[in-house]
Amino acid sequence: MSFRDHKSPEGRPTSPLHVQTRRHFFRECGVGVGKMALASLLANSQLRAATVNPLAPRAPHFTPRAKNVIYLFMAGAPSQLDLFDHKPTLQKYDGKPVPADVVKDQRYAFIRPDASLMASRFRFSRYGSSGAELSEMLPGLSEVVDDIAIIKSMHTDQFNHAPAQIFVNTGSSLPGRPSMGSWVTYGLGSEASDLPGFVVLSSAAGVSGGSANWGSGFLPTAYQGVPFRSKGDPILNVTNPEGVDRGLQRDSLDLIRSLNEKHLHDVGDPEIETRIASYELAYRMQTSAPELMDLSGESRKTLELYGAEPGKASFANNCLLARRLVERGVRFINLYHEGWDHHSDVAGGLKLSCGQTDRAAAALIKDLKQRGLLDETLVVWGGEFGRTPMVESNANLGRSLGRDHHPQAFTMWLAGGGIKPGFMMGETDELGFHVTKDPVHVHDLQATILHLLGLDHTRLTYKFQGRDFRLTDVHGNLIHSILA
Amino acid sequence: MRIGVRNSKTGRSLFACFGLALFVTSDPTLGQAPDLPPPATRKVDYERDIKPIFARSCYRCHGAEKQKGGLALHNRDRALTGGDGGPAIEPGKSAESRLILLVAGVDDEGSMPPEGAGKPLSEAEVGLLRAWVDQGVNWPEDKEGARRVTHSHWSFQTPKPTVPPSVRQTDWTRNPIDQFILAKLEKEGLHPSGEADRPTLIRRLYLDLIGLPPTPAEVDAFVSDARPDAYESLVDRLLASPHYGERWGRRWLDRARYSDTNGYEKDRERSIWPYRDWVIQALNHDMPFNQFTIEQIAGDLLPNPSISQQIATGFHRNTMVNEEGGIDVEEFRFASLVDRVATTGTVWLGLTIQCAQCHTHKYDPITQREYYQLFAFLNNADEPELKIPTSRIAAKRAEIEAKIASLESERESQFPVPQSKDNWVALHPVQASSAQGAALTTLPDDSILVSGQSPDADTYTVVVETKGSDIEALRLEALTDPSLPSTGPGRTPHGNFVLTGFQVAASAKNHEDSPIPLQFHTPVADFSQVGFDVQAAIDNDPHSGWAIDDGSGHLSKNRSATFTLAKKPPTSEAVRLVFKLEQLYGSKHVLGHFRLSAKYRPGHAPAPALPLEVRRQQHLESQLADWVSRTPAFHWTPVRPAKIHSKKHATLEVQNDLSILASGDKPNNDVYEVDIPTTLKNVTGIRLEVLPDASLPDNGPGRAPLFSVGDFILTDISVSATPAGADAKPKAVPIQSASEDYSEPNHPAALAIDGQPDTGWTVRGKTGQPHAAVFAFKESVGSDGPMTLRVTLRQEGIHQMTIGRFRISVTNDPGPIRASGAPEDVESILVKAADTRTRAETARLKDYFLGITPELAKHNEKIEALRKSLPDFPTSLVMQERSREHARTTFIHKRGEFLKPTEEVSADVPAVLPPLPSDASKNRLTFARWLVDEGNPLVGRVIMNQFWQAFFGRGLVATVEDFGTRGEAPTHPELLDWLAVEFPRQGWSMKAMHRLMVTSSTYRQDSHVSEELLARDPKNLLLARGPRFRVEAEVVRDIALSVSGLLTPKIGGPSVFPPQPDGVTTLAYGQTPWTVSNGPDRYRRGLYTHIKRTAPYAAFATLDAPTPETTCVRRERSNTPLQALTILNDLVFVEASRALARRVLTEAPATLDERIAYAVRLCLSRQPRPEESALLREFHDRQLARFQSKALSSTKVTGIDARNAGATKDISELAAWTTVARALLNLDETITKE
Repeated sequence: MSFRDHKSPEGRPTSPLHVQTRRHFFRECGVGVGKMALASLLANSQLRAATVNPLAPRAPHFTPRAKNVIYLFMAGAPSQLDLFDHKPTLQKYDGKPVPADVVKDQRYAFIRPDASLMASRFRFSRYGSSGAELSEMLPGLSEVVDDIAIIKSMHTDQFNHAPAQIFVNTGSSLPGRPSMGSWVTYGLGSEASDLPGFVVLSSAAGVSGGSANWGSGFLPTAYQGVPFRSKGDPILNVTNPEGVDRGLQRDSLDLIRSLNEKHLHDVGDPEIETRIASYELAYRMQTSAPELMDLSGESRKTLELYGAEPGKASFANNCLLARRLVERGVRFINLYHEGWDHHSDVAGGLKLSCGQTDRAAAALIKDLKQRGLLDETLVVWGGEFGRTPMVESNANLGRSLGRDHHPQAFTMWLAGGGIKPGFMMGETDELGFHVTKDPVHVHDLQATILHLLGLDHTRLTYKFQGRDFRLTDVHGNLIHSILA
Repeated sequence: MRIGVRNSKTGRSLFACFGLALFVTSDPTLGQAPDLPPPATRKVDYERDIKPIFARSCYRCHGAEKQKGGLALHNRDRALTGGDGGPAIEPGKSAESRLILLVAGVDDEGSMPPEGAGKPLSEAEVGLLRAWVDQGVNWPEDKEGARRVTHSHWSFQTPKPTVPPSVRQTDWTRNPIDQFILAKLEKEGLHPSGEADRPTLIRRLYLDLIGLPPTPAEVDAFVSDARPDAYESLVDRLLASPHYGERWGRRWLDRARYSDTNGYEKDRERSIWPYRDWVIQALNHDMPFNQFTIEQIAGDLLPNPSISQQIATGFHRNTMVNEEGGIDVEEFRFASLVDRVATTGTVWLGLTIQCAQCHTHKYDPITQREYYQLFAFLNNADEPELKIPTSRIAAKRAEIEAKIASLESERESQFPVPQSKDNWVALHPVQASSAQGAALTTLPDDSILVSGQSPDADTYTVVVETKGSDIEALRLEALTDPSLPSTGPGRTPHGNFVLTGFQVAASAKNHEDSPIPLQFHTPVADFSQVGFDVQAAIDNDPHSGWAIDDGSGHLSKNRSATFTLAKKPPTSEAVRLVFKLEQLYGSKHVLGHFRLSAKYRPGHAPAPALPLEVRRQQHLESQLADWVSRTPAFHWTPVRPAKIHSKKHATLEVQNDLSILASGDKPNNDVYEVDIPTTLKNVTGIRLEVLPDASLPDNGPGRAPLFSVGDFILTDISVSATPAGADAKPKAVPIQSASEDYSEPNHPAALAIDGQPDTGWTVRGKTGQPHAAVFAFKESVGSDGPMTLRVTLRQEGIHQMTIGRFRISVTNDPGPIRASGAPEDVESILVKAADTRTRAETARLKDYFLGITPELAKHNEKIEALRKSLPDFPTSLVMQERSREHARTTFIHKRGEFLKPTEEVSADVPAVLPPLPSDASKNRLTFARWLVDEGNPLVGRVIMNQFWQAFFGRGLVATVEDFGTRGEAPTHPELLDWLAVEFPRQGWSMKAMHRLMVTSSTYRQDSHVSEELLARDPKNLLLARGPRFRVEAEVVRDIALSVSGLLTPKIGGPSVFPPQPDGVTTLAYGQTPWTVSNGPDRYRRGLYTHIKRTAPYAAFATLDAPTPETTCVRRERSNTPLQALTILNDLVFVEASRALARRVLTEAPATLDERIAYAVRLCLSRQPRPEESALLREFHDRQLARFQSKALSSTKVTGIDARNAGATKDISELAAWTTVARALLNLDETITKE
């Protein structure tokens, strides 16, 4: 079964770009595979399919609502109370200690449980026909508010950065499990013929959870996220060594291929076929990757929309790259933007971080929409947990007017493929401390993302060490209300 | 963990609820008696009445073979223990026993047996069970049954010695392995492949046993070796190679999850490479596998463990350490324990024990209780860093320490000699006497010390001879001396004197009979007591005079008075001066130590009478005395604590010197409570010493492992006093002031009493040294007798900045109490009267003074610089069992959650496996020995399977990590058992088993595969052909370095940083730069490459190297375009292709064909076939032409600048060869074990 069997959500057939098959993969390898090898390949049984291309597109469990995911991971955890979850009560009780029975025995990273409450320093207004409330820090998002769904009732199990980030990405707080992008490419393969199926981009500082956030865990290495550099060569080693031009590279690959084919003939190991194919794909990546990075074909208007500047590493450039990756069939794109960990001066910190991200994130929605890609692309925005309604200050650490880590409640937004636009769900109490309505656990979000891609989170499993593992462990409930 | 959700539908403000107790709706069904059949009324017999019910309806899931939910009902002990959810039977209380509720079908959560799983119990049967429970669970003793958990699964059965089967093709088999393999092939109607040719065999053996390709010469030697045992000799030579330990060491490091960083957000570097060296050496020495296991699991518990055995325990220290701010350190220690249990289960037992962390294993016979019983074995260790006293570093340290000692011994002789700038010269007495018979002794520095009789009043007469004409003034110095009461300068008990008259008469030498009294202007003193001005010394009134009591209680200071001459003494070459010092005040107000000096007209001072060294000593003594007199000191009494408590479970132990040393758990922050009983009355303050210790990071005194290593933060200190007595209540003791000998700038001890919870005392900048802070009480406490002071030390920072070693002392000296600034031992000498100090104490004072005096600042800086240059010993992370009194308790954790400990468990092994020896103590060592006991049915099979996988690419059990019921069945079970039995028979020799495997005909088969065979056995399960697989990530690199001649073959040592593309490590937190190693370290074997968990070395990650977060016994083998890009374009391979080109051009004969042959032989260990040579030749010629025509840049491709091409005669040729070499390094065959 392939994507050919499916109708898109609008009922029209999916574009030819998305109906690739394994055969296509090789046919498109151009000068790639020699006649003998190709012949043996095509004559081969199902058995070889898996060894040949683990990223060959695979059928989902049911009709998908989205084909690709762009996950904007706001690493460090943005303050929901200053951006989305407006709490006038905090104004009233600004500077008063938080009631003990609200805190109970919640552990905190830095603050004491009796810290004072702190109101947001920002103004909130309602936008769009949905009337969603946003802070003045998100002018960009306010323009697309009717295209997104906001969940104010997210909660998680973890309150330290690395474990919490890894938890969102892999469903386990300990590193070593497959990440969401790995599960998705394992489940669906990729439709990108000459780019990796799961791409990771990062702007600002490094990410706490590191490579565990995009690792493939016990899934085959082919499913691990490939970190792209947002400047220079996107893929490590995609550029030839100095002095090796395209012609020499082609000559070299032809030589390697010829010698490998001879050896295949002698030895008969089908693994050599795969090697030949992977070298040809590598060669194609050498063309497609620079082409991907070359923003010169983008209109001035588009660049301005994002605030992107060709050649500069930024979140804006990464958002634009994400759109280009989606256009090329890349299945899962993780954009990390670090720097939301505002233990001190949350207002100043948000000015900076929102300044770096708000316009581009909104531009991504607009751009996908105007290109007709939003319907089949799921965009997710959020961090690893929320921030406290209480103030963090610490003379020894030089901190004041900050907010600490808060796992009980935080806000995320989703947009695009299969998401109800202009929808708002979930509520927190007057202090923004606890979720009071429609709680959404991280595992629920994961289940929902998989669902939108046509995957049943309880059926997308991998047997390892004697048991079937899945992204959502033994948890996860679909967030029905957010589905379009 | 899900959080509770608060319902605010009522719309009531949370604030309305402030302070109100939570309103809890009670469950109406709670507490009501369940609807149960009545208990039977007769006496119940277990065998007759109960066992049949259990057997019929329960044993299927809760018997000896299966224990669903952890519950077993086939044995009394196990039944009463209960399952994962706790006890199922409450003896005597049938209505409260979960078992009864479930079989009666009245439990909320279901009924037993579940539908379809057995016949439900009748009411009468439930009644019988109830009666049996109510009658006290009468159950005949059955000791065997406690252990009797059986399982029919093959891997739990003891491997039986199997006789290798007979085969038809007897000339093919070389050893029993072949018989097993061939028998099956024959059964399947297949034939083994022929033996691979010798070049293939030698390359296969090299790659499998040492991980490096053979050189062409080695291939030639083997090919032409006509001896019948040529192959076996080669095997033996490779098994003896020092590179064998590297090759097999890297495999073991996969199991050990070796990494050079701590993981999680901070992911800092750690030093554990000595463990890697240990693995390499243990394998090279063929350490028997049982010993290899025992040392790694419990080397620290062996009798008198060697350093090497301690290093071995690094195996389980390779777990991650979370150092993110604001974490609960214990939570991540728990996580590391979970990992250790899982790793032990995977590596030695091939079991997925970790599945039982949250609930009883769904498929294998391991209950949740048993999981935590295994956990308990590993849960009792501390995790210190071990210093490894290598001889090289020790020698270097000794050398520097000798230099330091020499410089220290020179200090006294380097003390400066003052140059008299103001022309004062001490007058040398020729005669000194007391009118009242006291003894006046002239000291080497011309001062006069008074001793002996101590009259109430006296007059001293001192005669000196000097140049007379140029004297402008005379000076009397009243000096302290250790021999005097209160160290003087006077002889009263408090050290005062009164100089009532100062008279001097001068006469020319030889005219002593006509002295002339000298007249003075108004004298000046550096200090005069109120009412005792120095003027009074020359007022001719015997009742008034000069005295020096300043009211501080510390008279012990040098004082001086200067008397300027009103008229010069008579001109003469030499003058005789007679001083009369009248001290008629009474009550012993007489001088005890003094000196007379004269000031001469500039340029007219006589040469000093004293030798240089004497003056140096004088100056040193006077400076020392001055320092002593200026340094406040108090009488401190260290107190042995009666009770010490760490809120976060650090281990606090009292040392012999009454200091308290922290070890064990290292929480992010902590509160220590120390109870010190004292009989001292009127305590005025306490002193907190923080002390260095070799066990602490950078020697302490704090425990901080990162950022501010060795530091601590004392955020708050408070004291309360409880008088002795039954019902006495503690009372807070307010602290008046805080002072310290040292603090980090802006972090004084005063911040520990400022009421701010986040500020405090730190000593960054001077860690590794003792420090002290003194806290003076507002009012003294304890006027009525013995009491206990409770000192609470809050250390509530982040990043584990707690105090590592400290000592508390009390004083009742009157205030103001403050820190002396001197070390504790020096202060205790300072408070002693000088005349009671021992010689050693006096020497210690001087020695300490020499170390701090500004006069020797430059000299001491040199010493300090040397100290800083002392090289540290390398360290490694190790395990260290905790003492019995600090043993940790292990609990079952509900749903495996760290925060939900329930029932306590003690260490034991799962019942399905053989028991521990009954007499052994249940500790880690016993556990380690049990793992490799011959009775363990798993370990031999599991390890043999791992070896098999290494050679044949796939285990006899494909699920190398899972021998449980969900694992795959062995393809050759008899062979596996035969190997498992053979292993201990061979003395657990790993090399012997490797030898056995690689000398088999099975291993020596050709790996070529026909279409038919491929179709018949695609995965080569039957082994009708040899193994053929791409080599591991590190070996891909090692091959490239080796064939190009770049490889640095050095074995062991710290990790290195070969080049990798920019931007790999910057993706991770902290964006740690990757500073590339240069020189030989750039080209070390792959297993020495620094492994950073959050940003693994890119080329290895791409080539399927495992991440070190969890154990890995089976690597993935993928085949991706990113791998192609790495080998084509990564700098390591670019450098290798350049070097390989140079090597070919240097070493091979100069014809193109011979060069091609040599290059192919280097990479593939075989001769090129003609069509291969033709392709290579054609490629070479085409590229050469392009380089020669400058269509391609030779300098760019070769990396050689035209200016320094130097020896390279033909750079176009080198460039062309670089491109040929690059292609050869990328061949599938080059990176494959054929």
